[in-house]
Amino acid sequence: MKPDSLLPPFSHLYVEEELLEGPWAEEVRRIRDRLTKAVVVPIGSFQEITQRRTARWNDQKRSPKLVLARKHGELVYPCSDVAPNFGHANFYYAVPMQNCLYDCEYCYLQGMYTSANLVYFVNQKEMMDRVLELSEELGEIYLCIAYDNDLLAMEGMLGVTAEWVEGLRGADRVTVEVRTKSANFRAIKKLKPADNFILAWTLSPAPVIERFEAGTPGLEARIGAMTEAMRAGWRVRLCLDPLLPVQGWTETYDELFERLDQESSFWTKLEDSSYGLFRMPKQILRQARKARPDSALLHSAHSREERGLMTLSGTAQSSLLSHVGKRLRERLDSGQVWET
Amino acid sequence: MCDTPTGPKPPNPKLRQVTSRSPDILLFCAHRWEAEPFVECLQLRQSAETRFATTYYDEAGRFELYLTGQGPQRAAAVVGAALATLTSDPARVVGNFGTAGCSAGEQELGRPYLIHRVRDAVSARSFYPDRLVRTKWLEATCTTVHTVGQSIDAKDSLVDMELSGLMTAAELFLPSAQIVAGKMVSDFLGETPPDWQEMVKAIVAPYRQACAEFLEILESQRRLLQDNARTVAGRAADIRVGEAMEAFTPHFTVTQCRQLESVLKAVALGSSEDWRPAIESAERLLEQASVESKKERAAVFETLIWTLQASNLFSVREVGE
Repeated sequence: MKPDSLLPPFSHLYVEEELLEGPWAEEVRRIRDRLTKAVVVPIGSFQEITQRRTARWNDQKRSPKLVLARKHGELVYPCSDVAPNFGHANFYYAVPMQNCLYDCEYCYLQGMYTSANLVYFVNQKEMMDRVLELSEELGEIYLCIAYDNDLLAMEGMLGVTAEWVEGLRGADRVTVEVRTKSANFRAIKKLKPADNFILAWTLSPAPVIERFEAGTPGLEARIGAMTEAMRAGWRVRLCLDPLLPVQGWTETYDELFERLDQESSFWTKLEDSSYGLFRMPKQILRQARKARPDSALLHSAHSREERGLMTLSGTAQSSLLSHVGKRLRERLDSGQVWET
Repeated sequence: MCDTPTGPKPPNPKLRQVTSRSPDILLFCAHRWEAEPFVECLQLRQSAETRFATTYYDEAGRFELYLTGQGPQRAAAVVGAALATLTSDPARVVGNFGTAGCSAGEQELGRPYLIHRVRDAVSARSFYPDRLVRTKWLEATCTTVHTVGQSIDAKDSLVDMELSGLMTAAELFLPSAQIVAGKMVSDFLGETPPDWQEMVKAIVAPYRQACAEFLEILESQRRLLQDNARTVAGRAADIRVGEAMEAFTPHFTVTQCRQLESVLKAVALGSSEDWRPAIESAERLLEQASVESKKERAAVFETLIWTLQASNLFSVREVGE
C-alpha cells in the first residue's frame, strides 16, 4: 500500500440496482468496460449519493466518482431568464450528465449540488424522444445539453455528444447547444457536422484560466479545438463568460482578442458570441462558498445586479462588460453578439 | 498560507459541555475481543471515569476507543455521545472495525474488507462513506441486522450488528469522508451459531494483522483530509476574520457584523500577505469616527465596507469614482 495515496477519479462506479439487470444492463456494461479498475457499488437511487447532507464537496472533488442512474420524471426543463436564450422563444435544457470533470472556481454547480460526483443518466434516448415531443407541441426548440456538465470532456468515456448528434440529426425544429471548455474535439471528429448543433467554447484569457479554471485545457488547446471544429464545418459559438475583473483586465482581455485575430477567418467562420459577468443566485452562492471556503472570488460577490443575482462589487465590472462588448462588435455583426 | 493553524478550533466557552479533548482518531468496536489488538498496538489505557461506555485512550490524546456493545441502537448512542462532546476538526477520522458474517462462498473467511455501502436491514436506509485513500483491501457492502438471525435479501453482503447505527450517529456530526469502516469475515450465515471461542481462534492472527493495517488506513485518510488546501485556507481565513472582528463587533448590529464578516473574509482570502494594512486602516477609521447615534454608526459602517472592499481585487473601483 502506498502511503497517503489518493484514489484516482472514477475509482468507484455507483450503479442504481435497477440498471444492473434488464434493458439498461448493456449500457452499464459499456461504461464498466471503460472503467475496468473501478469498484462497482450497487445503490438504491442516485439521490442517495448526490443529495447527502454529509457530503463535503471539496473532499469529493479531489477523488470524484461516477454514478450511473436513470432519470425519472421530467426529462427536459424550461431555462431560466438568467441564461441567454440567443433569441429563441422556446428555450429548454436537458441534463444528460450532472456535474463536471473540471474545477472552475466560479462554477455554480458547486453551489447547486451537494455532491461533486458525476452522474451519467443512461436513458439518453428517452430524453431525446421528449425533446422531439416538445418540438411537435411547441414548434422550434432551442436546447442546451451541457449547462450542468461538460459533455465533450467526458466524450471518450461516455460518448454522449455523439449520441445526441446522431439522435437529433435532421430534427430541423430543434437547435442544440453543446457548451464546453474541452479541447477534446477529436472525440467527435469522425462525426459528420450536424446543422442543428452548435458547439460553444468558453474561452478566458490565459491568466484567468490558470487561476480560476483548474483542470481545464489551456487557451491554445481550446482555440485549436475550436478552429478544427470550424474547419470541419461545425457551427461554433464563442462564449466569454464569466468575464472577471482581474488586475490589468483591459490588457488581459485585449490580448485574448489579439490572439483570436491571428487565427485565419476566425471571426467570419464564427456563428456568434456571448459574453457576461460573473453572477450567481444568492442561495447557490451561499452553498458554493461552503464548498469552496478558500475562494476570494466567491466571497467577494456582495452586490445584487438588476436580475437579483449576486455579483462582484465595484464599477470595474461594468467597464469590463462594455469593453468586451465593444471588442466583439468591432469583429462581428451586432446581431451575432449576445450579452448575457 | 500553509503555516497557518490547521488544527481544531478552540472550544466555544459558551458550550460548557464541549471538552478540550480533541482526538485525531476515534475507534468504535462492538466487543472487547475486537478492540484488543487496537488497545495493545496503540498502548491504550482504560479510562477510569465512569462514562457511557468503556473507553480507552492513549497518553498523547490522539486516539480514543469505545466499546459500543451489540446492536445498532447501542452503537448509535455511544457514537453520538462520544462525538457530541468534541470540538470540530475537519480531519478527525472515525473508524469502525470488527467481525461480520457472510453467505458461504461469497467472501473469504479471515479476510478484511473495506465497507463502501452500509445498509440498515430494518429501515432500508443506505450510507456511503466517501472513499479517498487507496488501499489494497477488497471492498464490500455491509448490512446491519437488528437481531441475531434476522434474514436479509442481499446474498453478497457482509452482515453485522452495529455499523448502520454508527453511521446514523456519526453523520450527524461529520462529513462521510471522515468515516471509515472495515470488517473481517468471521463466520458464515445460516449455520448454527458459531462457537465464539472457536471462531476467534480461527481468525485471531489475520484479525490482528488487519487491525494494524486498518490503523494505517485511518492515519492515511486523516493525512489526506489534513492536506486539503481549500479547507486549510478557509479555516485560516476564518480565524483571521474572527480575530479582526473583535475590534468591530462592539460597535455594530448583528446584521452589520455578519455583512462585515463576509467582506472581511473576501479580503482575508484575496490578500493573504497585505491583510494587516487593510484592517489597520479600517480600525483607524473606526477610532476616529463618532459612533454615538444610529445614523452615525450606519455612515461609518458604509465607509468601513467601502474601505475594505477597496483593498479587494474583485471590488476594484474606477479611478475618480
